Amino acid sequence: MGRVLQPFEYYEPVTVADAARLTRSANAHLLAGGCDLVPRMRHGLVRPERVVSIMKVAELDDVPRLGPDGELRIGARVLLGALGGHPGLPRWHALDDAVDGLEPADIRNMGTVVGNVCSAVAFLDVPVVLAVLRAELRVTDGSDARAIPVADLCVAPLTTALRPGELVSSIVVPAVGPHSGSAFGKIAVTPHEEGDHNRVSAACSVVLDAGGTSVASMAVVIGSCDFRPLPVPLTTGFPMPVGAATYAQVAALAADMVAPPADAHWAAQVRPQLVAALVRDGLERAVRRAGGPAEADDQRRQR
Amino acid sequence: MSSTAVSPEVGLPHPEPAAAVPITKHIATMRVNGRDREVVVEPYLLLVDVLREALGLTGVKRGCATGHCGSCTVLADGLPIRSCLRLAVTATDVALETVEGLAGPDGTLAPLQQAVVDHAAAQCGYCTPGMLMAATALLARDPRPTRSDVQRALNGNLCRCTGYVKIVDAVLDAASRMPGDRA
Repeated sequence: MGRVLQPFEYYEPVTVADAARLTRSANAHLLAGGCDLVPRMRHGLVRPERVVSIMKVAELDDVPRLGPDGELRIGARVLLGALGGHPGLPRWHALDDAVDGLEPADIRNMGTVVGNVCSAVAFLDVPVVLAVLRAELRVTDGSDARAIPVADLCVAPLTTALRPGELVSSIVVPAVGPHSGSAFGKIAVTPHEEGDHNRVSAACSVVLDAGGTSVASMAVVIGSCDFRPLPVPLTTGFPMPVGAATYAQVAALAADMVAPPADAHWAAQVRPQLVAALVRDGLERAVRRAGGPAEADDQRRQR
Repeated sequence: MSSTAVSPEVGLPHPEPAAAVPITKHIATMRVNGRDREVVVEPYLLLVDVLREALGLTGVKRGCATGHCGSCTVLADGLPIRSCLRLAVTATDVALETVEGLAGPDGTLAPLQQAVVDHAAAQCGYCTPGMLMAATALLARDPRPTRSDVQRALNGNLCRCTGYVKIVDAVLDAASRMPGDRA
């Protein structure tokens, strides 16, 4: 039979300890849904000597769960589609937006949430949202455990902070507090040159005051403009008034931050404008979801 | 980069740990189109190649082989997957369905297949099996989809020939002829 992939040792351990032990060896790769590893092997980008599947490790949860403090716990075997079908997901508006927008359906039926994040691929949506929601990865080497903020996971293009012998057991997304809202949006961009990321995205999260008239805190993260999700440094002071002027001010900060790729000369003109539009729209939706007032344009759209 | 030590999470109940041994070439039983089929599986083999070459199910197409085009779409426990991204060794515990399983035992075309014929919704036909499987999964989940529902369900299946309109028309036509209420 024709062979597409190079041969490798293959394991299906049933415990976290075994899975961690097996990946301590050099050139060993963890396999979950395969949506990232298999294409990389197909293209010759990685040539693992050992592949260790985590999909038979019962300790790794395969169902999203709500924790005792209202946090969302996503085990390493949870498929993207399973997360999308969880009735509690809409509380985390931006994550609901991102998972709902994942295409095609096949990938949602195969890929895991943790695998999606750990692939460290720059143009994926879920890591951008998890960064703005301040989610953390729970990492274990079979005995010790540590937590890594999703925002700090990528240390270089396609490279994470995970050490050999470590695996992610779950992602924990903090509970949604009162007067909180979030939103995610993306714009597909026709690639002009090889290597262009074919989209830009933005995730926004806000906490309003009890009256819904001012923003007490905010986080904005931009995706597909660097090898990792980019947090927008918010140099404005808080609280900020709810309204279009605030959204435009933050959108301008985000647009200024975006560095155009050196090999895509057209992007310098287009990408900052797209980022600004996504941030303005994301903040409007996040504020509305947090119980704040809708902008005039929103009110027209809702009729 | 910061990380903090945390208490190891309480694990779910798990079986007694057994020494992990590598899974090598072996004879596996795959459930395909309602039948158990024995096939030699090696870890590096992709599901698309095992289905096509070992089981002769060449209705499953290999297009891009990188998960983008959808021509390799099959159903695993009723859900569409990319067989070009799935190692065959990981597909021995699911019920697989390919386009060959759609027609009746006497060769009668399934409503979806007949609709594709009636609407001339295939030209080269290479994308058609993948389209049919994605549409089969859609109609099992939603017997009365809207045009937008169909377009979204077929969003991951690329066609270079038809322009998609006739394919969507065919799916909607087949849905109208099939029993079932909208979920």
